[in-house]
Amino acid sequence: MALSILLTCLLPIIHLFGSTSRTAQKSQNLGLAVSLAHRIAQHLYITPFNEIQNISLPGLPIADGSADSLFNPIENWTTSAVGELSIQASQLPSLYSFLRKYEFRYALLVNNVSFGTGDELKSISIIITWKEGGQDLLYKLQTHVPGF
Amino acid sequence: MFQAFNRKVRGFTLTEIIIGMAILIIIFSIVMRWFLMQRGYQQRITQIADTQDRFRLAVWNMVQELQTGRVIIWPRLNSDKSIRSDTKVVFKNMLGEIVTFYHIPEALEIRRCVIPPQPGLTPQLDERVVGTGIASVSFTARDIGNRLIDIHLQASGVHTLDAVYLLNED
Repeated sequence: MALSILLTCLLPIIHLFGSTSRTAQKSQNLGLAVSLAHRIAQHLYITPFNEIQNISLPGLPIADGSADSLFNPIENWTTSAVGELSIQASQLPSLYSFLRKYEFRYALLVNNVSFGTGDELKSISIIITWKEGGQDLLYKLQTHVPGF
Repeated sequence: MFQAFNRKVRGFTLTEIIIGMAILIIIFSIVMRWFLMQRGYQQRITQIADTQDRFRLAVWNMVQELQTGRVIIWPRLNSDKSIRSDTKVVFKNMLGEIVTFYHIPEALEIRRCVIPPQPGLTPQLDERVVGTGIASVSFTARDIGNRLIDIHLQASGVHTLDAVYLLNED
């Protein structure tokens, strides 16, 4: 009798802890995905128009990624290129493990739109993907970059 | 005398009570251990969510002014065109003021200050804090035109990466 009462009280508490932790974890990763997409969108303003190329899904990994203008190298506290730091386990272990844990990747789906000679723009879908609880999740940001 | 032997004895023996209490103590200790583990886990989750909220607020406060700024004064690319990071960013805002966002590691804060145009004048430190609970921050210049700045915030193992492109001309 006592055990059954105890179990009856424990079950909703167990459920509460489980759902709350999943909710907080989702909001944590979604906030980062939004900021990553915004970062890429801002970088596209300084990327030469013809160099904005399609990056198909599943996209490129942000941690351990190859050198590019978006993420790697990411910091440099020195006065020369020797001190450049990329998102690698040996150089930025905390950031690397954080991004690697959820396998954050980015993709660019680029559509070229032309209204005439010299009047062109690129319609770009910035897609951030990550894994969470065994599921593949995605955040998409649409932006446009003019050709002039 | 025979009536005393025929009387039914009801209740628990001392041994049964002791065994029952031991079982209850074992179950209670297991439950309490699990409860304390879950509470610690919940505190960690709440801390992460709070950290993300602080990041969002800090980045929002900085982006609003940076985005309408005119030019990034510091950090700037190195002489060999490599990127350059610092814990502060100095820029000219929309009104022409020289503004800096800088990190105070001891207080875990990002603050704003207006630098006067002439030497000898006192910098104007904002009373309102831009961001709190931020363990480290880096502002990174990677644009030769000094119009893009990367922002990286970190606290309690949680990170955020963002960037701002300045829209106005100098």
